[in-house]
Amino acid sequence: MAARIYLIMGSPGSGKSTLLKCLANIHNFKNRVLTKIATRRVRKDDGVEMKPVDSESSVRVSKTSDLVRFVQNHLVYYKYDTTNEILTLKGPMPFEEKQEILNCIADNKCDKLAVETLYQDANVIPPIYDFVYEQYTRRYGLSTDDILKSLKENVSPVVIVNDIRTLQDIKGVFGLLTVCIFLYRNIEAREIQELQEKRGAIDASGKVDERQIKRRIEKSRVIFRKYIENIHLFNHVIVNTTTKDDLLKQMKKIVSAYSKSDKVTFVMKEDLDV
Amino acid sequence: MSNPYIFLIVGASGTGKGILLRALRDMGERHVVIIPKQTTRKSKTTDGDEMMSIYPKKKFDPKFDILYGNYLNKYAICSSNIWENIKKSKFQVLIVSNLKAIKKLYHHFGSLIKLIYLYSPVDKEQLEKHQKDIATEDKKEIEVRKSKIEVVHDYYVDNITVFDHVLLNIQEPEDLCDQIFRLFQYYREK
Repeated sequence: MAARIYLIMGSPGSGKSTLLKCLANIHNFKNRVLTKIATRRVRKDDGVEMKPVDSESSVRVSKTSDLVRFVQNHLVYYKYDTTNEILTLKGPMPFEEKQEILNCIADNKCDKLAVETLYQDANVIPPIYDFVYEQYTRRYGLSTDDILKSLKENVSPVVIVNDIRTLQDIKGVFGLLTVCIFLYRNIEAREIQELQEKRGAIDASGKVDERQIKRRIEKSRVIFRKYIENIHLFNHVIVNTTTKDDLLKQMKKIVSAYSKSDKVTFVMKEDLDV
Repeated sequence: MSNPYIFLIVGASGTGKGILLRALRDMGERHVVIIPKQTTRKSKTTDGDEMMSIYPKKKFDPKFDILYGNYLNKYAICSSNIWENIKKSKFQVLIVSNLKAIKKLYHHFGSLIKLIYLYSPVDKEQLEKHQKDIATEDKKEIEVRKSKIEVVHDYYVDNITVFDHVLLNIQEPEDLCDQIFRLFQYYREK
């Protein structure tokens, strides 16, 4: 089975997490859900595909030169408002302070924690992640190396990506190896509320955070608009409107079609005439 | 000059095929030609010029050589008409949810075919009301239409990889029209 890069886009609540969990049930489908790096705090409802910068940077930043370049180019003051989850740029860090950090790096005094904090607080993705996009003031990163590593092992990377430019960029780099899937589910406000409750998105008073629900509904609209405007980019649409089995069946069909050969051939059934 | 693609739209009753056809008519032949069909059923109020009822006759014009049945009625498509439009390099659209007809069209026109699934969450009660409003008198036909909603969806699920695109009719009618227009734009520039 030839590995393909499965790029999945879908609104909140469309079933992305369910789909990722189902992948293990597809016979003979070697796949790996690629983790994205994000410059935001971990949320309870984050899926397996999300990793905050701080859990990654100590491993990723192996070269001191990377860090020095980073400090020189990016280090700025940010104010993080934890209540509203807003990151505001306060301005560039004074030269003296930057120099102090650079000296620490040079003297090997900069411990791992400091390195992690640098990236997260500056809202910057470490350089190894070359597909970078921003959503709602947060930045997310994916690495070509991770995709290549997976392909070399003949394991299909599965990536959740809700950014059209990144999707186009990955398609641009990997061409026919990519399979773009839009995951659709007609989700109502009530269901979003239930989902938020299930995922523990509650405010200080213990109620479901209304702002989060509104934000998710708005996000759904935005993602549907992205679909409309870029409909040609998607190779397949999974219509997730009935059961989990139905969702899995569609994904299985897609995986199976790409696994047969490089030239995709299809068979049409006779008995479903309408 | 772009390839003269033929867009086949597959969708259950009530998914918005009428809305789509109206929008395509509005676009005009400069953008797209709607492939005409003959049918043995009575005319409906929403039928456009492309739907030619031969009721109460049962024999189609011999030029209409691709025949199929749908919802207890018979339909026929004229392949020579499609070839004429291909010669003129026109995009064409045909609403057809019958598998045999789709296979015949693939046989005739091969890779010029772009198969599109039209999805909308259909409310069966509303569908019944709508069918009555547009003068579908046959109760049996209405029941068949209702019962085939899931069949069409299963048909999509079973053949998901055969479909080139999906039109999602889930919010405003304008969004649906936007999707097909953008597809035309894409294939024109391809």
